[in-house]
Amino acid sequence: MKRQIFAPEHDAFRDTVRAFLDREVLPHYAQWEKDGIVSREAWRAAGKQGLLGLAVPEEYGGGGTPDFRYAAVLAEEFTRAGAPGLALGLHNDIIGPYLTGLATEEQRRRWLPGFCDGSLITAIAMTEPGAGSDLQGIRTHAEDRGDHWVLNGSKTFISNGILADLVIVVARTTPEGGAHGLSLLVVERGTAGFERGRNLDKIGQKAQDTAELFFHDVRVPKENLLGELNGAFLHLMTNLAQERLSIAVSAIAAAEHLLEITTEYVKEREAFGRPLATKQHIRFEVAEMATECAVTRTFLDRCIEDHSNGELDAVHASMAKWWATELQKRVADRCLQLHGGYGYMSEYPVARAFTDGRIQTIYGGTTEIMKEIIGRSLLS
Amino acid sequence: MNGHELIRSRHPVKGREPIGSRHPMKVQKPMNGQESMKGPDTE
Repeated sequence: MKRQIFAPEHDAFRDTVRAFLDREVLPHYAQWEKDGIVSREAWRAAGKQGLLGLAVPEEYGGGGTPDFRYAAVLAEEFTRAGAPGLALGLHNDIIGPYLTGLATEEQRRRWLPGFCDGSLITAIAMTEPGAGSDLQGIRTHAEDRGDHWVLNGSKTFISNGILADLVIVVARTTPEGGAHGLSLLVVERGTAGFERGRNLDKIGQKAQDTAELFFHDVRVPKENLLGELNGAFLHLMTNLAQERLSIAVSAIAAAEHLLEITTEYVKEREAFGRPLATKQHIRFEVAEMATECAVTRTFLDRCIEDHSNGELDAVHASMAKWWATELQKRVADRCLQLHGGYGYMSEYPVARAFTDGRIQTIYGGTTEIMKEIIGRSLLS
Repeated sequence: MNGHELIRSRHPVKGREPIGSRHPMKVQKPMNGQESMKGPDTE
């Protein structure tokens, strides 16, 4: 089915993204995977190419558009290229809204130009060793010392954790406040007491740096409070819908791409003297996956459209997230199976997509949490 | 032309028209069942 959400300007933007991938990402990607991290030069190049801060107002150096279709194009092309390591989506779609939506004018002037030119790489630190989906369990805490906070605690599984120059830390600022005693504090690179742990060894997304972060008596200026004091829970809930949509967009793009490469493979690969594609089982497998992708694509495009119009709610974002990522997981598994032994070899894109994609049903809210959100909305 | 330039050049006016407004379905006059059998009123 022909997609109906894009105008010629989005197609032109897609060409720009593809050219950037060909020139600045793919030639280096194997090295980045070996290093476990992408280069800072790649971030600078993305800034120069106008791929950072698409939604940031022009006066701060951004693209100035709330049109999420550009973000969707970016996510789709990076996914199709098999290059999730350069985490522009995390920076633009997940962290960007916190800085543009919650920052004071002074904070915007301080951070957004660097956010857009690639000199300030960002991360958001929610998860702790003992608190993932359960935000109420966050133990990292900040004590009010008049003109500053003193921050103590640790975070884990933080994407961009090694590269990040600005980290939005979810910390408890009111001990007895439960989920409503949390605030967002921005910790900047070089602040005394802010240390990074090891670059974690993951099963996929090898070029993406994911780290533990430690805070030992970190002095955070009061002017680095982002949003309302004790308002983090509401801020997180507000922004998680876009995060979940962004993940869902990459998930359906991954599933479609896996189907494309597998379709080509089964046409070429012969068994028992004939191409695999002539076997009924293979045809049924491909037919089922193509149908599921087409149905999911239609729903996702509607969600992208709704979100660009400011109409996507948390429940539908949760539906998109769990459904598309679970589809991606199923399709990756089935496509790997159809590749046989070659599918288990890391140099095959299907193998990389299998491991790179496995996290999708976990981060940004697990499938189980998504179902809780949807179920609660219907039953309470 | 980089990404930002491209976006700005295509959207010179801030406050872009809602995407939904481009959909013909949304600007069609509501029709009852019989009218819809005949197709949209073109007069």
